[in-house]
Amino acid sequence: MEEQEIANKCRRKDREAQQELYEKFGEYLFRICLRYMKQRSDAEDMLQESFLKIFDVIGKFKWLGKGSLRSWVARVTINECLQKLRKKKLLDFSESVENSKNTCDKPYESPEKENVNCIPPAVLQEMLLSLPDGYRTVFNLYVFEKKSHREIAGMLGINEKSSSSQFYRARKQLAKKIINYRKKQESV
Amino acid sequence: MKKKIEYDDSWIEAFKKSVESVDTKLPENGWERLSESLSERDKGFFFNRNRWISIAAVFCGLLIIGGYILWQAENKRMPIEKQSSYIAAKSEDSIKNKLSDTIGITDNEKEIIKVLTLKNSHSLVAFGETAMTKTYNASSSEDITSIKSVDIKIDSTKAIASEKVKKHCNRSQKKESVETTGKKEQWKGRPFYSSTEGKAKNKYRAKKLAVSLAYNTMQNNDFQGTDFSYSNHLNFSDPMSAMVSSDFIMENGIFKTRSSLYSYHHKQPLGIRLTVQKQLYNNLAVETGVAYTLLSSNVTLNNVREIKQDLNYLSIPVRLNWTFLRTNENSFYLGSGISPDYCIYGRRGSEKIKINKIQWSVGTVLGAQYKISEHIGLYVEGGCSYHIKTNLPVETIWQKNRAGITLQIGVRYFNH
Repeated sequence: MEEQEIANKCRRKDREAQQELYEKFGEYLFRICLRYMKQRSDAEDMLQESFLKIFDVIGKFKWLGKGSLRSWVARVTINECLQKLRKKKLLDFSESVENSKNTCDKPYESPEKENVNCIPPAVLQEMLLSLPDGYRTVFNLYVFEKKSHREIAGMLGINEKSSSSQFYRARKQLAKKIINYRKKQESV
Repeated sequence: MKKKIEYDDSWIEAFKKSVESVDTKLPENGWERLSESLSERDKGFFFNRNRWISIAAVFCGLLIIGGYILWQAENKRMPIEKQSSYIAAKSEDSIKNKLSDTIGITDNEKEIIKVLTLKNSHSLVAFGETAMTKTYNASSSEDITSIKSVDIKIDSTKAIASEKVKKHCNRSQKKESVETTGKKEQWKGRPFYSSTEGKAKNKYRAKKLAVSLAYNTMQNNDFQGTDFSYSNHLNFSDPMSAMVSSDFIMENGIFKTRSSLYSYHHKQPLGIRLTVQKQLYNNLAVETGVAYTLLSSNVTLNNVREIKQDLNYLSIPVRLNWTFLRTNENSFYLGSGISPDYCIYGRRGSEKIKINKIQWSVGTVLGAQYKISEHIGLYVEGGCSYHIKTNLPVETIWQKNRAGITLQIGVRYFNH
């Protein structure tokens, strides 16, 4: 079935179409959930809730061409994840703008691209999940969802400067983790 | 000037690609769990006990709040029987005192007033007329000189007054009411004086009162066909102020009052509204539109004449709706907002009524909407509303029962 057909059938609560949508985008959406939720069990619950939401609001989906359903379901899932994090009060961005300005000015050591490629993806994902929730959320939105700091600020209800500061810190921590990991590997 | 630090972020792109390629398997029995949840949802709204409990709880809450508002409003409003007896009790003494002060009734005459009974307690004016007329009859039959304070010679004015009253009676039978605009009321073709118009006019009024009394004595106290104006407000806290001082005068042999007693029978308001709804957030929407309401009442004047009062209101209500439950076709919401109603056209009997004040109201509703197409829904709403006290020249059902329960059925256009 084509994306448009799946969407139309899902609107009519066709169970087969719903299953097809789940199978088609399930893994992709689960990966998104895994990036936002620290615990796997939370990510599984999030996936379930996201699909329920998708089937609830599929009437609002507008077909804009190939790939539009994929990006739409991703958007719904990300919104659900952010809502969950907000409900759990895991997103804490309390930090003065002045403070964040100073932080961003300090240089940090960046890892080599080749060093990153040498690390297994699962390990990199673990590194990402080990970041504080606020840093990780902003990093995910900026890097994976390709949102600007203005958009992120709007989505999370924070200052633009605060968003860039959170991203800077996330980036710095990740870089440090990657460098340390590589150093450990080399020493072994 | 600070130099912007440049970072080598090429590693981030590599990081992204690597993380996106993580092999993830869907949770075991993921689809089965989801399918089960979907089946439960599809069973629908009607079989979900928790939903019904929450709806019932919200509805009960609204009923309790609405009931409390109504109960409060009822308590504040005195029943008509109580009003009448209250007026009667207050008026007997007041009439005696006021009459003696105004026209110099003697102690003997006061005793006559004492024996007057209030037969028709609903009609303060009728009582006033009867009391004053009977008093004068009684006193004049015994001793015509008892009205010494009257500064008009009865003999010289008798013929003129008689003629005037005849004309007046004929004319007044044709007229039903006067225009009621703002605070100032007008008598058609005759001057009318309010209490605020100074001592000079009070003096003039006393003069007229005297003429009237003289004439009435001779004309067998016939008050039939008197043209009464309709009062804007009846002051129950001081009923006599409306009767004897500013609002109760005699002119050209006719006892007139500004505060004639009238009773209203209000019909249920009828309305139609066209609204549009715009979604603000996920479950929050703002709704506005145009609403037309017809307030129809039957007005009975002194238990005698009945005329129809129609007030046509137009308003632009604004409301916030919060949807607490949504399925594919149905949604249930709580709404709260304000409505400024403006009377575009009013008529009482054959007279036009101008009301230049906005009637504000606030209200809360519990509604259910059934989506019949992508942008159009049928809705039914029940709730309560409260009309804010407004000094209007006429009584309306909104002012009489300021708190009320509403039920609405309609069609709504929405863009979400």
